[in-house]
Amino acid sequence: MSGYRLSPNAPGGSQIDRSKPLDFTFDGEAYEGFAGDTLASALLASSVDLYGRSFKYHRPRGLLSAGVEEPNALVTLGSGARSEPNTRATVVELFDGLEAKSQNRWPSLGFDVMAVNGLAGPILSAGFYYKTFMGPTAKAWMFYEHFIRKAAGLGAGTKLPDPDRYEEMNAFCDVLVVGSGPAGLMAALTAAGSGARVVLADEQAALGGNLRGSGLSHDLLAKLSAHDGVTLLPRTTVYGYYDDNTLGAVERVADHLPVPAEGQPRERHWTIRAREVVLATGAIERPIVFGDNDKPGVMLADAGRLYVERHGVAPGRQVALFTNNDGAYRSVAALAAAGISIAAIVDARAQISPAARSIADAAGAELLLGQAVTRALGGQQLSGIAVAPYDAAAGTSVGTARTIAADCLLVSGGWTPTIHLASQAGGTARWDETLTAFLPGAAHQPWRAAGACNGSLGTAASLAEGAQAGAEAARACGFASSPVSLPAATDEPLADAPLPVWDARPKGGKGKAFVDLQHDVTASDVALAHREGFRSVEHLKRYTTLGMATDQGKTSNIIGLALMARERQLSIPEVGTTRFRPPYTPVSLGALAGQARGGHFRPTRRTALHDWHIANGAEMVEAGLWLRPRIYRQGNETVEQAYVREARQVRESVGMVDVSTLGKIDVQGPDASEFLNRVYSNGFLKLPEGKARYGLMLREDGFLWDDGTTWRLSETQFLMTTTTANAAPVLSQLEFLLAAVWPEMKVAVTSVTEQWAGMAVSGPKSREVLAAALDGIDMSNEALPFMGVRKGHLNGVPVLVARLSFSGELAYEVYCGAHHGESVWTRILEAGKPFGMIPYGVEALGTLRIEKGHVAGPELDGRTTAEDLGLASMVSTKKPFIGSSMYQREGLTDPARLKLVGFVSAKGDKIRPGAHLVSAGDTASPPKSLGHITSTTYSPALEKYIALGLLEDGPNRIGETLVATYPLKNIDVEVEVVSSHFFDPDGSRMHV
Amino acid sequence: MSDAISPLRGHNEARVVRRASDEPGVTLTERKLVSLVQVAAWPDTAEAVEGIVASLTGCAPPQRPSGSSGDAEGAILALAPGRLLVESRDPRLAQQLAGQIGPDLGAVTDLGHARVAIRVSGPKAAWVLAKGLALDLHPSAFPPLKVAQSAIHEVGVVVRRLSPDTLGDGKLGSDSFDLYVYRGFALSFWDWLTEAAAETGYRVDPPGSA
Repeated sequence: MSGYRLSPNAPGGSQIDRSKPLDFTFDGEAYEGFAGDTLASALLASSVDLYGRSFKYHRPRGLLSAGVEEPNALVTLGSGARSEPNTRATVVELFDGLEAKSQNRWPSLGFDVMAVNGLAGPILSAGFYYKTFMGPTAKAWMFYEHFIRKAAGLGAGTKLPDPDRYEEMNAFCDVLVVGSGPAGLMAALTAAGSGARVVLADEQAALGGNLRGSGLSHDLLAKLSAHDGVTLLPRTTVYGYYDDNTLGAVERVADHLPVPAEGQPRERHWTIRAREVVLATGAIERPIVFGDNDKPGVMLADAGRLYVERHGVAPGRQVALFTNNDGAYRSVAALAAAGISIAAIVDARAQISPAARSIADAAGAELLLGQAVTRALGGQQLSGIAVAPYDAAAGTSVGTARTIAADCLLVSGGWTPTIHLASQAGGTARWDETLTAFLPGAAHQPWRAAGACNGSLGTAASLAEGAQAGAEAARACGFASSPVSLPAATDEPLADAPLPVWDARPKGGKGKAFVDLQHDVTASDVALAHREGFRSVEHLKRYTTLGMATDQGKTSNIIGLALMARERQLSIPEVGTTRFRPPYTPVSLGALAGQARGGHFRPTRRTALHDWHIANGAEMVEAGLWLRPRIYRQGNETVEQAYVREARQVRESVGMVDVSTLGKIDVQGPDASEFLNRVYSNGFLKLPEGKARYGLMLREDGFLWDDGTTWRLSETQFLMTTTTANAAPVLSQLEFLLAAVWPEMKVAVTSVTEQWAGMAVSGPKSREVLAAALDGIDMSNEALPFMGVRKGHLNGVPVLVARLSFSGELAYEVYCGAHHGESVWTRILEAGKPFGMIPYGVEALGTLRIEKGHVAGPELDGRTTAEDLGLASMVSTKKPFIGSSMYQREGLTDPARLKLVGFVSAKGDKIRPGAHLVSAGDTASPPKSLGHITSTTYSPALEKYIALGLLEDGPNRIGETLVATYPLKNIDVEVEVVSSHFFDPDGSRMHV
Repeated sequence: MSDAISPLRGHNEARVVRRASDEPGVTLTERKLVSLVQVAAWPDTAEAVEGIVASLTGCAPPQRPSGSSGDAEGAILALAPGRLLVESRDPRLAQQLAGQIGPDLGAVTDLGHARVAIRVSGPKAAWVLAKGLALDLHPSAFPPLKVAQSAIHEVGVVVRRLSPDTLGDGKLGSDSFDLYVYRGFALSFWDWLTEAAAETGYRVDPPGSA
């Protein structure tokens, strides 16, 4: 074709800088453009006709538009990890070194093998694939789908990690103005003038919308920038309107640069909370359907004007216009002024305004009134148009066609207001018969629409409406409005009363007539859908896929509705419209993720001993957000060898484990003991000072919830510990109880999990180690008995010591201020050196507790009761507590409930957690489950694989042999049922 | 007594990360927390407790709700009705408060090891924090000395905007915030903060210098 760069002397080119040439490539070929070009304008200036192949038929496609609505010119940008498919060439800002590739073609854009699909056109109609590839079996579709999808489709994304960073931003304002055309600029200026904090966002590279590059927009933007409370956001698409007047937007911070600058995010997601919103989102021109209307060279009329005015690019050398409204004559005026030859003006209307007529006259163009373009002619690009008289009453062309030579056809079928955001936060759209378009429905949130999106297409009207909307929005925020003077605007012909022309073909007209260019949906597909009984727009949309491509039907939805209405012989509003969902245009997932990626997908919690663990070879494991040492591997040890060694050393001598992650809650106040007595199922009123007690918490429904020890530090102060997993839920439950259930209780609860580093010193030598390390505490059995709590010092650091045992050995927990954790830990290890003291991880911690039959997370799974786990004696019958009223209900006292028991592997095989317990002789498939395994380990004390589990009638089955089966991996292990207290059942080792 | 170790050790050391030739937009400093104590009052003792805290620290009672008072020597932050967070350079603060506020008046909880304090100051301080903080930081909505409890990147934080009038020790930038962050999350938060500040460039001042 036929596009070319206009001479610098011609009017237009307001956005480009001819002194800054930029080099780029398209499909490997080198091109040149200017700063301020889009990829599309630069290619058009270089006479490129072909931008892509269509989705289904692989038809050659050119440029339709100059904006986000572009259905055809989708390209893949960049290469390697920065390769990005399906970007619209019409909005890609050119930069030096840009690489673009066309999509959906093989071997090349000019010659595409799959274009044979076009010959099969009549067959590949709506629903073709589903109808054809149904059989022979139900799974046939799965087989065919792969090949069908490969033939159809868009660009392919990269699987490499994204090298760029993204971030989030929170913004608050009085008035958010979306769109910076005449209405948006005036709304922002008026609101800012009243003193409101204003955010003005626009998706384009520069602000100004339809006024971009004009003196008026310079003027208004200068005034706007003078206000303090104004945030201007160009390159920012407000894509979604959510509850509470919260809107989502994406700012393309660095997409116009080869790579983001150091530290710069590529895109920034804005969450904007606005008190009032002005929607000045403009309108999008729509085409008219005729034969082969997808031929490269067919372009929307206003796009033709924008390429001339913004980029100094002529869309063709011999340009024809096909319109049903006056507005398109602005394009004629712009092209003619730039010296571009206008071949003909084809206007479906019999009458046009004097203004339009004088533009046509000035352009010296042949004016064909009451006529329509019935078909685009030419091979891979437009060479001419067929024109025939148009019968407005019948809605088709009639009579014989004549041919006019043209290499570019500008088309205008009227304008579609951009009501996406209004639809997301408002009622059903209103049909406007004069504009033949939907307008925003009733607002369900505090927004008001102004300008073209509200149906006012003229600049003067938009300026006025914008000013009014801005003043109203500011007033709604409580600002007194200050009057603004409306700038003068020149009169221009408007597309405010288009003649409804949807499909200009004569009956039986030739050529494919596309409604949705991106999804290759034709006018006959809509008719077929109707013939097959799809009457609702929702069904039409899904059956034909009209409007479901990445452009979401921005240029096709209204035409599709109009054609459906014609088939059903109803009016368009009777057929109805679909609603719009976010996003307005595609949003990259990176922008939604922001900084929450990789290791920062969620925050990590580290104990005070973290650095020490890492420096000493610990392999860490996640426990909620925490990282805990799993094992301290030595040499080539396996995990099992490591934990067995660690556990054995604890039983034989002494070891230490980091227990800082346990939840710790400071419970204080005159009513603290009464409060605990109501929260725990066992008694806490009589717990003496300086003593700890193991407590059980039940849920309100009587099930077991959490456990831990609580230490009485004084008459009115307790230190409660919880499991690692339930630290936060327990605190909120306690706060809820104090705030809502027993507000009269004087108790304060505060999380002190982070205040204390905690370490458990376990093993027969633990007393000797601590006696050497600690100052001021008599460690003798008499002075510090089992469950005793004492305060003391270690190297001058205040510590709390409690004699508690999770391992079943003589053991103590030492707590100190977290910042001192590392020095206390290393000092204790030093004192333990003579005894071969080691640090141990959570694997060995698990082994030791399983050997003792102590329950933990896998047993406290929310489905077990205290009685199920053999803890019935800890549930008081003498007092009420949370959960007491439901504890005795039928389902919880059923004798058939699963009960905790122990298992020993009979033949030395590993037992899998989660394995089901079945009778050895059960041959049914699947066999009847009698229960399941919860925790497993190799027991160095017993020198066998052992497990805890929940078993039907468990305690009465002790001595039986069952099978622990794991059908997913085909593992069956013979197990003997034993007591859950595998090791030292009378507790003689910890009471020494 | 052994040295206290910051969870930011190895990360909080002084350095400058510059963008182009611009001055760094923010300065990040881990402050030294000598004493940090939470005081909870009962509904009928809130005023009495506030009075005791004010006289012990020498600060005015904070403007409620969500206000604060005080200077570099000590500060009172109103976290919630009847709940104060008290900071002081006096290591005996917890002991002194506990001595004067018995169980009849309220509860005193030492949090000196439970939080780290990070100061974010400079012309881009609010911009950087807004990347994670869903609070309106405009001075009209979040004036100096205001305090809020919120979360940044799922990490709970207490945020206080400083007042150049009361904290004008020459080190405050044009805009400054003190953040109190849970110790265990401190490094994760610091990573978030330095990444958020990467765009504007940042300076890390030596720990304890703010």
